[in-house]
Amino acid sequence: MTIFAQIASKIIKEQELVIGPLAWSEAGKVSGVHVDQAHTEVTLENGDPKEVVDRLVAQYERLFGRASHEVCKEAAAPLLVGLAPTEIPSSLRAA
Amino acid sequence: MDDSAAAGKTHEDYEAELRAANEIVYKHSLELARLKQALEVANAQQENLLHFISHEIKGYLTKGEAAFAAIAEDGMEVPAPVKELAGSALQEMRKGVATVMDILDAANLKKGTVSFDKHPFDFRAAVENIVREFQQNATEKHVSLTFTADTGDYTLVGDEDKIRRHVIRNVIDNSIRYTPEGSIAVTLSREGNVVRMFVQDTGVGITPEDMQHLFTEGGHGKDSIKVNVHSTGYGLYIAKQIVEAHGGKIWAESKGPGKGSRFIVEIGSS
Repeated sequence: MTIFAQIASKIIKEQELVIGPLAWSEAGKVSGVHVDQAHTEVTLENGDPKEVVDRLVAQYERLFGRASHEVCKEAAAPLLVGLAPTEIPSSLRAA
Repeated sequence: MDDSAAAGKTHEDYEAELRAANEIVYKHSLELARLKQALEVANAQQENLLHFISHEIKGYLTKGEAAFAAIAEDGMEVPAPVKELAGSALQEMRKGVATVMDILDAANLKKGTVSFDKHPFDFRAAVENIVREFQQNATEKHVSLTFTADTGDYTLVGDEDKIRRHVIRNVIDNSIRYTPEGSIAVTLSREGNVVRMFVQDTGVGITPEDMQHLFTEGGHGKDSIKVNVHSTGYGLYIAKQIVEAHGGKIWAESKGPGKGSRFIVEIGSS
């Protein structure tokens, strides 16, 4: 699993703790995010994975507002440590 | 004209309202999720602490128990009053060890760290022996304790020690504690592959409210605690865990306060 797929997976699982299975169905609507039926594996397709992660974060924020964006950032934070600043998806950069 | 136009609101207005409502629900859910996480951490810490304390106390009590046993039971030459005092202290110490063991066992069962040493054993002989052991207790309380069993093979495959200590002893001991007078009948029956133990008493009975807590962890009944003030509330919880680990069932029946109780243990023999 690539680092960006890991980030997406962590975000979805963290959102799942708050909104339940809806987290997976909303993630599945995001272009470039593929979730398996068992809700265990996330793969990123179609283009720049950073942009796919940004779209995933935007999908939750569009529905649930700023608080959900913060949850995404907190969830992803431990996985961003090893990335160069330019590699970090813009939605997850510190404000 | 559609409804939204009639109310003077546009679709965008409704969408904004919906988003705002979603956001509020999300924030509440987030708060709940964080509280749940914090509670899980606190529960785990409490369980670990309980386990540690119980283990330590058990160590101290066991050492004390050994010392009193040496005086009271091992023929040490001491004045009679000292021997008597040591005997009484030993009994209390053993109750203390049993209480701590209940709490430790319940914690271990909950954590899933209990292993079962299963082998074939004679369930009938186990029940009969334990009934015999309790005869003196029952007689002292002027309670009649009887044992009967239908003919047949009562071999079970299971952890004999745990079934003896936590299930058979526990249920019969409970009946004696909660039966101030009258009788307790322990009976066994076998139907196909299922072995059942019935413990029927003429004791204080169980209120419907207490019945709900009977087999729960630390589940003291409001009324039962008045009769047995030393109850840890873990005995029947442990019994249930052990029976279920053997694929069986345990339950109680009572027609209410003052009308006695019946405990039923059901375990498959194969």
